[in-house]
Amino acid sequence: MTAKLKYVVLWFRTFYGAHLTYSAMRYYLAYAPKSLLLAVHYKPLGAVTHPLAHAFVDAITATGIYHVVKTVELIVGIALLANLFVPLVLVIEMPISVVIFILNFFVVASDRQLFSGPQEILLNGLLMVFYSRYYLPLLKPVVPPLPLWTREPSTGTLGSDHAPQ
Amino acid sequence: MHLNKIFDLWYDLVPTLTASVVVLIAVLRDVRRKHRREREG
Repeated sequence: MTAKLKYVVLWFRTFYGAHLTYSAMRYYLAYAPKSLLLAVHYKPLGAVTHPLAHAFVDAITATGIYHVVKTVELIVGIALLANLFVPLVLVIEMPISVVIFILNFFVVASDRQLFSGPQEILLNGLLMVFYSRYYLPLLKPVVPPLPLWTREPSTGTLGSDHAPQ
Repeated sequence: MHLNKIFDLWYDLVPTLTASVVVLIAVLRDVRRKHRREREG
């Protein structure tokens, strides 16, 4: 990798990591002690006004899925900032990015959302392109099961000892 | 200033500034290392 591309990747990785961490922290701030929130004049985030998006966000909040999403965002954000498990956390974040993209770009489609929806999936996708060689071993169409407790094949392709008969 | 306003204003600015500062530090660190290697021959 060229030196310039190294800095470009570093910029995008840090930007996306900071974006996700900041977004999750903003969500978690609502759980801080009430006295602290009053002291800093914090008000809960405004409700989503779009009828479909409002129903969707209400449903995932009521089921606890939104909490899981924000927790995943926080973990992915910290991992990206710390440069840990980057290819893995990018794959984990992708379903969330797809949902945000569809919701913001196609459903809500307000000024801000028309920007933030594509931004989310483009950052996630671009970083996956930068780390794409790590995904090559995953692109085998048919593979036998290979759990951790089995002996790793010493020769040949991965899993060739365990090929189905 | 209310915390909400700070969050709104900084929503794009914080990641941009963080990434730019990190890249700047990385560039300066690499340049310093290169110069040190050149000095040491």
